[in-house]
Amino acid sequence: MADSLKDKACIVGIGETEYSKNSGRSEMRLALEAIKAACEDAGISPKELDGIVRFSVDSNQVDEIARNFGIENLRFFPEVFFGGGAGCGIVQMAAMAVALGKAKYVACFRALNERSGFRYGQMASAMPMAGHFQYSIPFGLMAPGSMVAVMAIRHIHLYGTKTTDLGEVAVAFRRHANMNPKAMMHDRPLTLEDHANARMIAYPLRLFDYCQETDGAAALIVTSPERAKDLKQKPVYIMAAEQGTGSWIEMMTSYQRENIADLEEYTRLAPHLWKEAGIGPEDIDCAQFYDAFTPLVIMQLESFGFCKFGEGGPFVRDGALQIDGRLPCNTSGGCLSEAYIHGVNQIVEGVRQIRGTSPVQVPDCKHVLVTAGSGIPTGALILRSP
Amino acid sequence: MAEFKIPKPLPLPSEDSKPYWDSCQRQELLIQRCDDCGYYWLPPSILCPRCMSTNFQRVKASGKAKIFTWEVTHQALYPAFDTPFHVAIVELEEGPRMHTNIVGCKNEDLYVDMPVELFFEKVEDQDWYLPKFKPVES
Repeated sequence: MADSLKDKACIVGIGETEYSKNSGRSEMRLALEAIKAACEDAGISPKELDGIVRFSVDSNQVDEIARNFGIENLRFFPEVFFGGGAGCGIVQMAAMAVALGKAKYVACFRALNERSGFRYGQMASAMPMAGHFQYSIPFGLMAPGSMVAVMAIRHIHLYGTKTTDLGEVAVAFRRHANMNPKAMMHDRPLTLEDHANARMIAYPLRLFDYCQETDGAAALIVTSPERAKDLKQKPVYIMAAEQGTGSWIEMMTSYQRENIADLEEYTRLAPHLWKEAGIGPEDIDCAQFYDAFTPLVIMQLESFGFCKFGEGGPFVRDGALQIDGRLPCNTSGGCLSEAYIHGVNQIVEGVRQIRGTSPVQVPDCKHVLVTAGSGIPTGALILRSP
Repeated sequence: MAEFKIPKPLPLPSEDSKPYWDSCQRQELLIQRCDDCGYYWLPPSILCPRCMSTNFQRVKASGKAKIFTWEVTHQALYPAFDTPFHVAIVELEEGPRMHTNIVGCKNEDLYVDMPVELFFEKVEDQDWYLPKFKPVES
């Protein structure tokens, strides 16, 4: 029995649509475009796909995708739950299937019209409130940003984190977006003053602590190292892929757990991730953190061991996360400034960094950490160069 | 002409949460306490989250609590609440935490560890009571 997933699978294709506020086409069309582009990038036909992994929240079903491409023998078609938490889990699923010979070429994707269609935080259609939301939404905690704001207040209370530290995160990723022509915020510079003076959305979070809302899609193709040799691109090896939860799981509101200033999901999965990869935080050349909101980046730096708990605020100061800083992060601009494709665009950027083809390229980039959604069951990947 | 107001979102009780919400309508807060290990918990569930026992009592909470954390929403996509408004997570004396609003306290006066006490407030234009808190008078 295989005792590790390390280096048993590679990402060999990446595909994206444009990122916009109004795609003007269906989520199915976006998914097909991104998957087709990823196949072309890899040098395979979509008809060769025998695995497709979807986000449970995605509106696109696997059967319709398979019909569109005329795929006749799909052998592997799971889905991963928990919204943006599925981001790296879809790749873990694909890698396991490939490693065990259950599929040859697996597509992982996310497609959404989050801006022109249903926007997160728009709760009206879900009333009255069932599940765990029956305990939170009637009191007004309705939007993801508000659900993270209460965690940020704890971080500030326990550790003295400053809102200017949140600004450092926003400014760093915006600088990268300004260098990335695909980024929604490509033409919009941001300063720490702009961040501090922006309108308040959910105290202590202001406008630029929030990610983009995006219409678009991103996709990846996963296969074995042997098959990768015959394909177009330099393979990007999946060194480690983990999913994990914390205690007292709720979607975004796991507030019964002892410490909500710690993103417990990552803290628990990180040791497994580092052990499988056989490397540590000091070996990471750049990180693509799930950054739906700025405080989540500061907390993840702590959970993954880039600094001690409580030191995420000081860590990000003086441009540490920028391309020329000590840990370049979210080099495409991330969810904050490139696009919100539920973090799958950040896996795509991780692949580009290993290939050496990012518009915001980290020199000699060998190891990349990518993480999935925060405050929910989630996942993470470590990618490496061949 | 009467101003149209969007109704506030209400809980949809399940079979397992109904005793909790029913107690709130009687204006008492019942939390679960395990007969076997003594653990108190919220939100309502079927098993004791610590020892998995099905033996529990629904006991009346003392109503004493302190603010664990809070936020103030200034811009909301769903306009059921007049902005700015806050939400607090309070920690009951018995241990469990719950979502609530602190009534009789300005948003800017909220702070972590602020002592608060339970009362029940009727939801505007709805036949529903929700557990709310107010600052403890010193």
